Amino acid sequence: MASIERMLYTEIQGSESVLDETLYAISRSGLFHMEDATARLTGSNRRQERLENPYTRPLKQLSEISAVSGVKLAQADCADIPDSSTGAISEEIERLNASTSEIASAIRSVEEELERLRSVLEQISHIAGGSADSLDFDFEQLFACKNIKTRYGRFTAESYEKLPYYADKSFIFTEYGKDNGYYYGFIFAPLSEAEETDEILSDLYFERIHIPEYVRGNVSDAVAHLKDAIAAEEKSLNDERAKMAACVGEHKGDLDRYFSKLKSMHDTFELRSKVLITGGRFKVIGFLPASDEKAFREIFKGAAFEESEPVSVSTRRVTDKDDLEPPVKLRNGKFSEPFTMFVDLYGLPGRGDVNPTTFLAISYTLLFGIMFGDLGQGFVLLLAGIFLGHVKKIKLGRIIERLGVSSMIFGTLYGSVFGFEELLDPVYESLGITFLPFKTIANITTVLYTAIGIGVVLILIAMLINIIKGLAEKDWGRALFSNSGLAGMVFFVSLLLMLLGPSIGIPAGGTAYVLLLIILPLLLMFLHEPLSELCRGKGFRIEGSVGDFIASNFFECFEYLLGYATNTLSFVRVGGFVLSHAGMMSVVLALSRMAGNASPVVIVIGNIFVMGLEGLLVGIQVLRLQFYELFSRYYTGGGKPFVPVSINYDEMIS
Amino acid sequence: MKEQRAGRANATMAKIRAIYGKRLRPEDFAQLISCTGVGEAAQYLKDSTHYAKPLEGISGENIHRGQLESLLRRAYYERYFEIVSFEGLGDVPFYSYITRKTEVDQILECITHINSGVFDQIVTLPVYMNRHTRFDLVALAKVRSFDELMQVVGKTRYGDMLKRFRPRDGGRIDYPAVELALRTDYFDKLIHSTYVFPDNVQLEEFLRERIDMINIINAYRMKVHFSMGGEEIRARMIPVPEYDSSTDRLIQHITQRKLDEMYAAPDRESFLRLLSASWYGREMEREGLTQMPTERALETLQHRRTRHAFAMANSTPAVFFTFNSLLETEINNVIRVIEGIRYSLPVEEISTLIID
Repeated sequence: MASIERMLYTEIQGSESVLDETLYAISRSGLFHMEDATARLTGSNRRQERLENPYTRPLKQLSEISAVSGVKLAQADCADIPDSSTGAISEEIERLNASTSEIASAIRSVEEELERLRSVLEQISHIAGGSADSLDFDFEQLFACKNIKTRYGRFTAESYEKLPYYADKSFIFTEYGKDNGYYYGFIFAPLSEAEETDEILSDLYFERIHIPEYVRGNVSDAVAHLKDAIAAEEKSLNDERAKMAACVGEHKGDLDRYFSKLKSMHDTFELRSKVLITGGRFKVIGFLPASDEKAFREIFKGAAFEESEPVSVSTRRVTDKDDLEPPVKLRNGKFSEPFTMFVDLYGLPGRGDVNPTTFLAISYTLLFGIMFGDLGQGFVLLLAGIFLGHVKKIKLGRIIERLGVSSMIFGTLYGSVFGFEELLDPVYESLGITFLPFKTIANITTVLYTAIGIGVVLILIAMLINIIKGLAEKDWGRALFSNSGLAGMVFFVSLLLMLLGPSIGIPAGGTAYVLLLIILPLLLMFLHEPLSELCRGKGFRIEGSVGDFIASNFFECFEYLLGYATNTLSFVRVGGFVLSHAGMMSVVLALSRMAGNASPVVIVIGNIFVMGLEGLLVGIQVLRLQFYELFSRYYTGGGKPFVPVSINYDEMIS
Repeated sequence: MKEQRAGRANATMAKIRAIYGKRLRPEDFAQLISCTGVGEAAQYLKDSTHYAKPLEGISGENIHRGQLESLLRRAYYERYFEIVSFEGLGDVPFYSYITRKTEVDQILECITHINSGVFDQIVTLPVYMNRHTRFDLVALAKVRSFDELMQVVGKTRYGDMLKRFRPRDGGRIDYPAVELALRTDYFDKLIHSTYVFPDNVQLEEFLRERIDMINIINAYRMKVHFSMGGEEIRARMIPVPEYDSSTDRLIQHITQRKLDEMYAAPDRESFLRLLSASWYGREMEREGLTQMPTERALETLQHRRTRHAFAMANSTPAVFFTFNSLLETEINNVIRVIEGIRYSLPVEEISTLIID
C-alpha cells in the first residue's frame, strides 16, 4: 500500500574527536538525511569554517593515474586500513605517480604528435579534395622554387570576399577546398613582392598551414606517407598505454582499496560543513525514516569508539508546531513504484499531502488502456517496455510495460488487433458473445458518455481523498467547505443528478433539493475562508472590506463552477482518443487496400506511425488529466526528496 | 497587409526571445575575463556559448584578435539575416535598417580615410553586406577622393545628400556636417518606416528616446572635451523628427527647451546639474549609475533602457530592433574583454569595460 515514510527528527551528539568516525558510520548506513546544523541551530547562514579537504590531492592523483592508464578504479573492501594510515597511502600514491610519470609523459608526447599529424593530413586532404588530378606536383619542388614564394593556408569567408580588392596586386590565390566557412588553397607571389604579399595576407588574417618537411612527392604520396606515420604513432600510443596499464594493473587491488578508503574519508570530510562544532562537542541533525530507527542505532553499537566516546542519538516525531520540513520518502507497491517518476515530475508530497502514486498508477494505466486499446499494439508496447525497463534499465520502460498490458486488455474488449476490428469476432462468436458494448466505431455515443462517466468517478475519488486527508489533518475548511471538500462534492453530485438524472431514470429536482443540495453547498464554498477560521476557533472573520470579500469570493465561486464543468468535459478526450485511434487505423487499413501487393508494408508502417504518434499523445494527455483535473483537487506537492548521505564511489575527483 | 503581418510576426518574435535566452550571462563574462589569452577566450566562446556556429572552424591557438573581432561582428549580421529570413520579412523596408546603417557607417568611414590619407578601410569592411548595400562596398574601400566617392555612391540617394559637401580646393570634407546629415536622414527614414505597422507607438517612443540619448552623450563630449557653446552643439545634434503632438500618444522624456538649456550650460558641472534634474538624470540615479564616469553611465543607461524596452516590447519590430541593439552591445562587450586580455589588463579593469 502506498504511503509516505514517517520521518523522525534526529540529533546526534558526541565528542569532536570521534566526528569523522561518526560521519563515516552515518554515510555508510545510507539511512540518514542530513541538514545543515549550523544554519538551523544558530540561525546563521554562515557554515562551519571550511577547511581544505586533505584527501582531495591524493584522490586527484589517483584519478589521473586511472585516466592515463585506462584502469577504472572501483569500490573495494578497505575495512582493514586504519584511518591513521591515510598519510602512508598518499605517499604510496605519490610513489606510483612518480614511477608512471615517464610512461605518462611518453603517452602525452605521442598524443601530441598524433594530433599534429592528423591536423596536417586534414589540411592536405583539402588539396586532395579540390582537384587532386591537376595537382600532380611534388611538394618539395614547389617549395624549392627560387622566384616564386608559395604559402599554403586558409582564408575566412570574409577575407576571401575581400580578395577582389587586391586584384591589381601580383599574387594569386588558388583555391582547393572549402570547409567550415574557410577557403583553403595556395598563394603564389613573385619573390620581389613577397614582403608586401605577406603584409596583405596578415591584414586578411590568412592562416598559414605549415606542411612538414617530411611531406614529399605529390599529394597522393603525401597523404599515403602521413597515413603511414599516423598508423605508426597509433601503434606506439597503444604500446605505451599497454605498458601503463600493465604497470598500474599490477597494483590494481591496492589502488582500489586506497581509492575506496580515500573516497570515504573525502566524502565524510565534506559533511563537516553541515556539522555544528562547539566546545569540543559536535552536533549533527537530520531525518531518519521511523522504520529504520533501530537499524540506525545499531550502527553505533558496533563502532570502535562507542565505548570510549559514546555518541548519543535522540529522535522525535515531527509535529505541526515544529518549524521543520521533513524530507519525503515514498513507500509504494510493486505495481505503482515506476509511476513515482510522474509524482517527482509534479513535486513530491508536501505537508498535509497523501502519497498519490497508487491512485495515479491505477487511473493512468486505466485511462491509457481505454484510449489506446489494441491487443496487438498493446503487446508491442509490452515488449518495448520489457526491453527498455529490464534491458536498458530506463524507468519509463517499466511504466510502458504496464500500459501495454492495459492496452491489450481494452483492445480485447474492443475487439481490436493492429487496427483490425473484426479479427477477434470469430473468437467471441465461438464463446457465444455476439455483441461487444465497446466496439468503438459502432458505439460512439456510448464511448463518449462512458468517458465522461469515468471522469466523474475519478474526480469524485480525488475529492474523497481530499476530504479524508482534510479530516485526518483536522483541516475542517479543506474537508468541509472547499470546492474539493464535502460542500463541493455534494454540489457537484447534486448538479449532475439534476441535469442527467432524468435521462437515466433518477428524478432529481424541486425547491428543497435545489436549496439544500445546490444553493447551500455553494454558499458554504462562498464562505469557505471565514468558516475555516471559525472552525479553527478564531471566530467568523472577514479580511478586508465586505465589498472586497463579496467581489473576490463571487469570482472564486464562478471559477469553481467553471472548473467543475471544464474538469468533467476534459474527460471527453478519453473517448475522443478511443475514436481517433480506431479512425486512424481505419485510414491505415484503407491505404493498405489501395496499396495492393505492398499492403503488408503499409499496415506495418501505419501501425508503427500510429503507435508512435498516438502512444505519445495519449501518454501526454493522460498525464495532463492527472495533473490538471485530479491533482488540483487533492494534492499540492512541493515536498523535498529524502536524500541519505552516502559515499559516492562512482564520482572521481578531477 | 504584408506590413500588418510583419508587425505581428509572432513566430519571429518567439524565435528572437528564444535566441535572447542564450545570451551571455555574467558567469560567461567572468569565465572570459579569466582567460589567459585570446586563443583561450576564442575557444571558450566556441565551446560554451551561442557563438559556437560562427566560430566553428577557428583554431584557438592561432587566432588573431582582429580576426576574432571580425568573426564576432559578422555573427551579428548573420543573426540579423537569420531572423529576417525566418518569416520572409526582408522586403518590408523597416527590417532592412541594418543595411541602411551599414551604408551610412561605411560612407562616414570612407570620409575619415579620405580626410586622414590613410586608406585601410578594407581591413574592417563588412564585405559580406555587399549583396545588400545599394553601392559596391569593395569599390568604396578603393576610394581615395571625394570625386571617387561620388562615383561609387552618386547614383544612390546618398549622392544627392553628399554633393553639397564637396570640399573646396582639395580641402577636407566637413565630416561632422556629413555625419549629421546622414544620421538625421537615417533616423528620419527609420521612424517613418515604422508608421506602416499598426502598433508602432512603443517602438517610436524607443527610437526617439534613443536619439535623445545619443544627443545627450554627444553633447556631453562636446561640452567637456571641446568646450563648445550652446548654438554650436545644437547645430550638431540629430533633430528628433516632428510628430503630431496634438494626438498626445507618445511619451516624451525631455523637451527641446530642456535639451537646449543643457547644451548652453557654461561648464561641465552646470551640464551635469541640468542632466541630473532631467528624466534621464533621475533614471541614472534610480539605476544607481551616479558614481560611474558620466559617459559610461549614459551608455549603461542606454543599454538598460534597451533591455527594459525589449522585455516590454509586444510587437515584432520593437522586439527585433531592441534585440539587435542588445546583441550589438553584447558583441562590443566581448570585443572589449578580448582587447583587455590581449593587452594584459588586470581582471578588475577588464570587468569595468563591460556595459551591463
